[in-house]
Amino acid sequence: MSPLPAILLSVAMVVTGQTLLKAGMTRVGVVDGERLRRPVALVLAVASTPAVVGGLALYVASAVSWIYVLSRTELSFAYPFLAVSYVAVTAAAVLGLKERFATKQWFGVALVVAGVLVVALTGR
Amino acid sequence: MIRRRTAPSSYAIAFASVASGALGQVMLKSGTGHSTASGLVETLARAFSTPLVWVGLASYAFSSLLWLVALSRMDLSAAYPLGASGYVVVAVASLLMGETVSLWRWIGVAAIVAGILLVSVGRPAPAEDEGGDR
Repeated sequence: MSPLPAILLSVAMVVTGQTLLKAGMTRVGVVDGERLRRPVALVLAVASTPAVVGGLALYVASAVSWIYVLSRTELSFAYPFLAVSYVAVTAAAVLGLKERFATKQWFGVALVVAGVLVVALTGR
Repeated sequence: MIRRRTAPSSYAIAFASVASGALGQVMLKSGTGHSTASGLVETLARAFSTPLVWVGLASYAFSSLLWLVALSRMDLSAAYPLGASGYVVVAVASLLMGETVSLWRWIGVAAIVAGILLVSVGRPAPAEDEGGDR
């Protein structure tokens, strides 16, 4: 069986998880030395933010899926697929958050996609 | 989007996250090997009975925790160049583990790294920003 579906599933879960984590941590606020000295309050703040909890759950699911992937493929083949996350995050920023985007950045996204495709063509 | 000045300590945290993440990948791969198990359940059962897989997961979790802290202190796009270095580190580590990394695979990794750098460096300055902060 091709490992590609499992690789893409892992990446999709990582991307969704990371987006949720970023949204959630923005809500929690800056974690500085002050807050690290009160770990219980910090853990409570994190644990009571659904986006962070959901993001972490997706991270766990993606890790399990990733272990399956690594048992089937070479690390140097599977790992570069995680770069798809940059494309996804960029797309989310432009479409969802209406961030401005320079031509140079579109070239960057195209390069990442091309790089992942090249790695994909090198087999397993 | 409001750009924030990023403290050196934030970069150090993000870098430590990348390093422990790469180390975790190497340990996970070393722990799972190339499984001869046929089914999903059997594969995972074998993997989770291997101590190195647990250490790899711990390293990965530590990396994620550091990433959480880094993200709370810096913009996601400020962390991009550091994230890009992870692809090179993992490719070199794969080579050291005995994998054959073909020229095409290196070309792919190089394109990915160049692409990520272009995305982060090419960011337009927000119109209301004074623009002199980096």
